[in-house]
Amino acid sequence: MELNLTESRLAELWNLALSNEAPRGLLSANESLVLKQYQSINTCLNAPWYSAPKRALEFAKSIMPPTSRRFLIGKLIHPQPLLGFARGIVSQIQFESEEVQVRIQIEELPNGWRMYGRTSEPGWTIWSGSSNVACDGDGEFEFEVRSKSIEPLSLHSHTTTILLPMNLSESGDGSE
Amino acid sequence: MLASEEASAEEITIAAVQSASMRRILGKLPGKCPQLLLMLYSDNESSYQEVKTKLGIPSGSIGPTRSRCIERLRKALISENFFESELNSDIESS
Repeated sequence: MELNLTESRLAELWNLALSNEAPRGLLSANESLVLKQYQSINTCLNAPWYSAPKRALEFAKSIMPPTSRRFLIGKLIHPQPLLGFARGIVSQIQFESEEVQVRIQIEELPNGWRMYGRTSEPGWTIWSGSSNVACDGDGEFEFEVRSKSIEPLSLHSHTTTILLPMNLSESGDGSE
Repeated sequence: MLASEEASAEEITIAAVQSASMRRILGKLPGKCPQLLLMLYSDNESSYQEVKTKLGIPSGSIGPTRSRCIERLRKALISENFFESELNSDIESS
């Protein structure tokens, strides 16, 4: 769909989305649509990564129709803080869902993190922020993140996205 | 469960799903767009100076590049039906 909005107008709409202020004057239908989309983008970019408390998972299950199952939230099974462990490994985490189990070790590097582990089945791609790596034939993966913050992790197959609730400082949330 | 707790749980879950979905699409954008947008707008917001240093984008080009990247992201999200599905995401806990 051609919007016929200039770059400067788009920039104004983006700034409006950032400011969360009401627009001055009326917006055209196209402008209103773009503003709403920009607000969604801004919300998602700024969304803090929550670990998923059990209560949230149960509530999500109660309100969401189990139809196409494009998204599925993994369950944090066994967070193991390993501060002081050899090789700088700071945590070993295991997740499981109906489709797959994954175990991840996180090793601190001077400028980021190395994450490696294994999924119970091959064919998954691991995403961390904008980085990704495909598991090998044995389901193993390893990659480095050049950032000191730990981005949300997710697993993707052709049909399913599994979000891994990461929050190393709240190891109790979501665990059973 | 109290109403306020329900709203909180719903918000947390939907925000997590939407954010991860959008970041996956963001990661497919060409060039420096993924890194630039995450540096400018995610939790650990970076300054233009940090963007200049880390991504090698001249300060005067960051604004226009940012605008182009946002538009690319918006169009990519439209092509992936993100905006249509964001309120109807099917979520099932394990």
